[in-house]
Amino acid sequence: MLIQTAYNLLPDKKSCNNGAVLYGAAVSNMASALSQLTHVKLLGMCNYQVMRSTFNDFFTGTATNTGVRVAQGVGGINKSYSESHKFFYATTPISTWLGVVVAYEAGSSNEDGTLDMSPEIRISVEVLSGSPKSEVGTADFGIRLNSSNSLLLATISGSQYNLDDSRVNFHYAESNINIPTSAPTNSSPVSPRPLYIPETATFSSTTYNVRGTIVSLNVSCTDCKLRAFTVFDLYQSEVSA
Amino acid sequence: MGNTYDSTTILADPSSTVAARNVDRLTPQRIANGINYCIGAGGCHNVLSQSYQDKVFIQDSGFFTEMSEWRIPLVSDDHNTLEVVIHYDIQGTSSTCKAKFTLQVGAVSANLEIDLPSTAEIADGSFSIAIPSSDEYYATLTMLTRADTTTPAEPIIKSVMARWTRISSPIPAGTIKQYEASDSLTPMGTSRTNINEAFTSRFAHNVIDNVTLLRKRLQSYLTWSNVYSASSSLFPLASDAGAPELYLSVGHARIMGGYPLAPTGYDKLTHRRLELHVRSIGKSSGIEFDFFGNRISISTSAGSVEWTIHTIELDYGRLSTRGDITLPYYDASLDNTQQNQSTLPNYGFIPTTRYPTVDSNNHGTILSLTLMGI
Repeated sequence: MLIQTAYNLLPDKKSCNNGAVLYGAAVSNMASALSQLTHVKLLGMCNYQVMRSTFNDFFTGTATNTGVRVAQGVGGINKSYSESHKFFYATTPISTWLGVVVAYEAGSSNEDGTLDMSPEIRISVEVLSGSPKSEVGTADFGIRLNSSNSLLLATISGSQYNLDDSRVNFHYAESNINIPTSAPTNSSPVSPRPLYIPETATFSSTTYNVRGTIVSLNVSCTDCKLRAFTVFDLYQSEVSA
Repeated sequence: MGNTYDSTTILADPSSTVAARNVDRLTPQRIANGINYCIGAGGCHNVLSQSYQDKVFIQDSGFFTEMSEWRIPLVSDDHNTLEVVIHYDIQGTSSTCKAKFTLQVGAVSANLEIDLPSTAEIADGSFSIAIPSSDEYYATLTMLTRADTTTPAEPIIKSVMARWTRISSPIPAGTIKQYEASDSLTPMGTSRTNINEAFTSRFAHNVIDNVTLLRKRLQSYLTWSNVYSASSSLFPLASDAGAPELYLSVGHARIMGGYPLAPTGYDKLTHRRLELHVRSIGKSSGIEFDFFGNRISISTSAGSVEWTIHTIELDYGRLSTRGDITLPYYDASLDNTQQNQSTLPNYGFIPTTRYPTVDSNNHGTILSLTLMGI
């Protein structure tokens, strides 16, 4: 069935009073309004800001090491710089495909201008279980964003480390939102596509619930720094259930 | 069957009830199931999401030290268990480093302590709170951490999330208050809708009332708190650790934001739709900054650290071109305006006082932001 996105006008309650002749349209209207709630308004989402050091050479002589983000760029990205993140996401009972938006910062050369950068961001979905929680396996080996498919390079001038006139230093990249026709089977990261949340996953003969649980979205970055990470449950305009 | 729900049968096909067709029991049965699903599971994804790199969230004190504070939306009075998950690292070897959360709703509070052993990197816990009967729609969550000074070992927080635990099926009998005392959700009995006497006037009225109320349910679009009291003995140089963001600054322009959803019909909803909650240090001349095309004005007394709430009007020119562009998400972020460049801390205005110390040097600064809405 088609899923409407709008908050439609609900039926007049008087039309549903005892003795009123109720037409199918009123019930249809209720059903549509409810599908909008379950499959649009109440879709899951999480949005992580990645706080980074505000240390600044310029201010080290003062009483503060700033505590202030004076420029949009963070800088300090050298060739082969790498970092990793775990972003926990509470999936909903109907989460299936996730779209990802990342804000990142990447240099086109080392700070001394000598080396070419090859920024890359990998994202996978890990299953959490146990008490305390720990990763028990990979539900989706995920995607790889790099210069060939989505990542842009930027000058790192104007960073927190090295101020000058430029103050635009981050870019956005995203997995696309075209939902594949079947569950992914890759065992290493592939070109950007929505991430998949299976209903269950089996590791070492043990089956774990995945959909509806908290998963870890593991992100590794090379030659770049992550600034923000946002995940959406993807809207599907037509759903059969 | 009670007030049950099953996420695989929540869609009632609107086309099955159009003119000339009978309203058979399957449609009301699925509507009841969907209503129960929305009541129990709707809005139970992340209400808090924040991440840290460069060892900015580090603590060397052997006493619990307050580090951050956020506002988070509530779901309903029956969603009273908050689950927290932390990604962390321990500099050193210890089993006694801890994190602590204090949750405040109205005049009621609850605490949770979580062990952070160096043998693991993920920690989690949950705690319940008796949500007061007064009208409440948000909570204030404070995070503290504690180091092991004997070993020594210091906790480094790398990310933190929280969510309200879903009400599992079946939903308890009786109505459920959502935010206001007059807002009562009515779970729907699925035993009755499973036979051919499902559709009654009461059923229809309850569905309409429930849908209307569920449209008011809030979620978090942005949660950011500064990190204060960061300190490290093992990394004494600020270039190595302990230099977090203390104040919202000019460098946060454009990137400090979230993606609120505003589909057609949003404007016709008359209840609370989108709010920015701001924690700031008051200034005698007031504070003004721009967020998502809105001028935010704060007039708290000088030196007073308070949360204020600001209604946000949609800036329709900022329809997001990122993320799921098949839905009308908006790019709601700190604006890159002259106002922000002149009033927020910047290259020429570095507060020399570090919060939680408060004096005239850091009056007028912003400490936390939460964007919450329907």
